[in-house]
Order: sequence, then C-alpha cells, then structure tokens
Amino acid sequence: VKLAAFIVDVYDVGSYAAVLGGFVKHVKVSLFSLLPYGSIGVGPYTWPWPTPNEYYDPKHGMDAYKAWLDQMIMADELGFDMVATTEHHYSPSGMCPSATVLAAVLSQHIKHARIAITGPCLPFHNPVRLAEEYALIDNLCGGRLVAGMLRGAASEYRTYFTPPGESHGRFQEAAELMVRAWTETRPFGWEGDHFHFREVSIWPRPVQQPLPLLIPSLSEEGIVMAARLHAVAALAYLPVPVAAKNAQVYREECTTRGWEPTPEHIMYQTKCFVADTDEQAFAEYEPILDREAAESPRGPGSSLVSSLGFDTPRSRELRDREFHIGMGAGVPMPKRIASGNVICGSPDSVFAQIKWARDQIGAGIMSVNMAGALVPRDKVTRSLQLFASEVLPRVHEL
Amino acid sequence: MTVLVPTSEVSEKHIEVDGKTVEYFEVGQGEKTLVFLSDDTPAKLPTLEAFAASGYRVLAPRSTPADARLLAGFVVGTSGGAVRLVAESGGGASACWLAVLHPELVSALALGSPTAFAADANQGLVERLHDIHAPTLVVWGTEDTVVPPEQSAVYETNIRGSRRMYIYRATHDLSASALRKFVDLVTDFNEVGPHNFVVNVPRDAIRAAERQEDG
Repeated sequence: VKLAAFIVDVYDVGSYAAVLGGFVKHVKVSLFSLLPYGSIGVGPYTWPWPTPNEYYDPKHGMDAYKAWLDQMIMADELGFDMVATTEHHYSPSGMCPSATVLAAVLSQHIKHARIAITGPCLPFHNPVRLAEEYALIDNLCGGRLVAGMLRGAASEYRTYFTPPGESHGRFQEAAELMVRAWTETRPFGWEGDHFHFREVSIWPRPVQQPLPLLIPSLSEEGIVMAARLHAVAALAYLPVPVAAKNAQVYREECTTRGWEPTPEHIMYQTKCFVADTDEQAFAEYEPILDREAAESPRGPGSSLVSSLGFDTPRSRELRDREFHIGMGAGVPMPKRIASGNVICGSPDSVFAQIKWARDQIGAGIMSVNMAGALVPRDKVTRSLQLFASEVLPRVHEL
Repeated sequence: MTVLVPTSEVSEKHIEVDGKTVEYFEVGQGEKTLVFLSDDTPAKLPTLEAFAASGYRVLAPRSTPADARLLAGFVVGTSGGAVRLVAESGGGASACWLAVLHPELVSALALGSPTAFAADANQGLVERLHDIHAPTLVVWGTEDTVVPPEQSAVYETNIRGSRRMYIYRATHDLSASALRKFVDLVTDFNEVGPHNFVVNVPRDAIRAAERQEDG
C-alpha cells in the first residue's frame, strides 16, 4: 500500500518492528466516543469552556445520546471487542459527565464486547463510591468490565474546584484504595492523605478477580502507576513514535517490577476516519481536523493548572516537545498520518496504518475514536460500517 | 487532631515483678494509663511522647516481656488495674497474649503492624484471638513489606468486634512513617470506642450524646 510505504520511510521502523516480530498474535479493537452534542448552530464548535448551557436543546441532546448508543450497539454487533465510555464536563464536545452512568446503560445493551470505563477522573470523586459503581457495572454486564482510572484534563480541575496541586496524590491514593476495596473481603478503614474512611466493605464485589485495570500512560507517572498495578497502559492521542517510546518504558518498568506484560496490556487510541477512497476520506476529514486544531478547547487557566502541579516539569516538557507534532491547523493529511496522529483513508490504507501503529507500539488493543465533535453522524456510521466490514477482520488476524 | 507536644520528660524507671527487674520508660501525667509495647522501645520515645501529649500516662517496658504473667505483673505493679494497651510490630504477640490470658487488665487494645505469628511460641495464637474481648483496633501501613497488609484481616476476622485501619503509604514502622496518624487513630478509638469510631462525629458530640443517654 502506497501510504503505508510512505510512513515506513518517514520513521524507519524496521528495527523496532523486527524486535516485535511474532510478538502480537491477535489484536483487539475498541470503539471510543466522546459523545459529542454535534453542532450547536452558532459560533465555533468549541465554545469557551465552560459552555453556557443556554445553547442546549434537549431534543438535539437526546438525539445525540440515541446516536451514541446506536453506534455502540452497532459496534458490538459488528464484532468490536470493546466499547468505551469517558468523563468530560461543561462542554458540548463531550456530553459525558458520568462515565459510570453511561457504562451502566451499555451494560444493558452490549451483548459481547467488553465495556471499558475510560472515564472517571479519580481526583474529582469519592473513590469508594466509584469502586462500588464499577463493581455494580461488572455485575450488570456479566464480568466484562475494564476499569479505567483517569486523572482528568488540566482544564477540568476547574469543574469541581479540585486543587490541581493534589492531582497526582489524589489519583494515586484513589486508585490504590479502589483496588483494595475490590480485593479485600473483610471490612477495613482507610487513613490517607486525601481520603478518610472508617469502614469500607463494598457490595457487590466485582465479578472479575482481579478486575482488569486501564491507566493512561502519557506521562512517566502514569507509566509507573500502570506497571505497579498491572494495568493496561493506555496510550491515547500520542503520535505513534511517542506512544512506542512510552510503551517501551512501560514494558521496562513492568520487568523491573517482576512481571512481563502481554500485548493486551498496551492500548493505543487515536482518531480514525474511513471512507471508500483515500481521496474521499482526506477531503471529508481534513477540514474537520483543521477546525478542531484552530478552535482548540483549552479553557483559560489551563496553563496555570498545569504549572501548579497537574503536570510535572518533565511531562510538560515532553508534551510540549512531542505530543503535538503534525497536529496543527493546515497540516496536510498525509503528514498528519505520517506523524502518527490520526488514522484516515480507504479501508486498505486504514488497515496498513493500524498495522504500522501496532508494529511500532506493540499494542494488543487498538482503540478508534470515530465520532469527533464535528464529524456528521451519517459519516460516523459509514466509517464504522466500513471499518467493521473491511478492516476489523484483518486487524483481528494480525 | 492530636497536638504532638511533649507534656513532660521521659523518665527511666524499674519495678520488681516475681523477682525479676523490669526496666521501663514513663512519660505523661494523664489520668488514664497507656502501656506501649514494642521490640525496640528506646527508638519509640517520640511515640511515647505523642501518646503522652494526647493525655495519657504512658508506660513502656524497655524490653517487652514475652511472658504474659510477667507482663501482667508489670501492668498491675505500675497501674493497679486495666490499661489501654498499644503494641507495635514485635510487641504485638505479648499484647495479644496478655489480652487473651488477662482480659481484666486490658481495657482497649491497639495493634500496629503486629508480627504476632512470627515466632514458634505464638503458633497457637490465631486460635486464641477469639478470646480477646477488649475493644481492638488493628492498624497497618499499606507499604508494609515485612508483614503483608492483608494479614490485618486475620485479626479483624478472629477478634470479635475489632476494627482495622490502613494508613496509606505507611511502612511497617508506623511510628517512623505515620506517627501522627497512628497516634490520632489509636487515641480516637480509645476515646470513643469501637462503635462510635466509625461515625464521623466530633468526640465532644459523642460524649454529650452519651451523657444525655445516661441521664
């Protein structure tokens, strides 16, 4: 495939791919959605954060939720291995204030796929309550839950007035407390730095023991957490070469801690758009990415939040230097693809790009986000169907 | 919240029990006596001072007697009756045996990361834990690499009505890694009892409610 060859030329992945030869036997695919409201009819799609909800039309909103649920059910029926919910606040770009509520809805409709809660921003919430809700959902879906644990985006620390300087501490403590709540079979109390409980004894317990965990591994701190808790390292929206580096650091960290991760311990997530031809896909998706880049939804105060402890200096430097390669407005689609920031094209091209990303990263789970805030719903559906019929079976055989 | 300010100097004393000399530290002038047991008492003087600052008269044998009868003699000789018993690490076995064999001398028991099952002499202790009737609190650090934190469940399961608490990021040496939290938890447990310990109400409010009930 011409496009795939171009990518290989750019990154000279031969040596790394050779190391991984035969490493990944079977790749699983997840569908992720931010659950966008769609156009609000006026102004840019990313309004100042928070977006005044005077623009919310309940009828339009209910349609958005129905479209989201239809897409998730379709993905399940078409053979996707996992569907995922997330948590975002105060914005039409992601109408998902509660990832667990959405996962509970999915638990009653998704018959085969795993349900990943790649959502709750742990520092914002009561960790025992979250542990209860996860366990409840694992029971509701028959033991198919993947328990994601997130720290949240910098701007969202304004949502509940959470101190950004406590971000890492609250996240780590909440994660350890939740794991203990799921695994301990006798009542216990918890005296922490941020959380204090005198009696914890959750009902129900999760069906799965242990519950599979998923932790974003964009930063060094995230990688260490994932390795420590034997969690899936989620590498979301990183350029593929950066994700490959993080995946390698994760594997080394796991080895240091005395265990060897499988490919299914690494998930790579990226935007994905499929059309009948490369030309059609580029023509339809490029303007959307340009608008997203031009109207980035970073709310005021994000930099301040970042510098006050949300990011460590090292992770901030890494992100500023590498995360946004090839992501600006006006970047031609081939360059975006070559940078490893998006998967886009005909089914053949999309398969080649996924295979390349898989080989680079060693990921056993590929998560695709097809429903960007500006992608028309009919094109999301078409992309999903094309992916399922012409890409998914080949990815499964990788 | 306990204010960790020493209320008096630590003094070194001794007492004769059954013809044996037991050396001990004493600090604090509180009305209630707290006996602290550990396998390295001289290193725990800040802990003794912290409990003294919480309002106790604190007594701590320099070397924890392994013989429960000797320990009982020490408690009777220095206190004349029941005491709050707090044990950390290697002091845990002696504390448990005292609570099993001389329940009249232990009004409350707090165990901090006890290594009570380590020695052969304590093999039968697990089966006797159900004989402990004193209100009991078990405290463990989540980063304990000497004894797995999950072992705390053995105590919670076998000592009826007991409570167990994890201190996040604390190591096996609770005094060194989480002194304030350890002392606060034990003090709170001793003051309000195992039932009210799990209720988020200020101690004063609990006492007022108890007075009202008594009245």
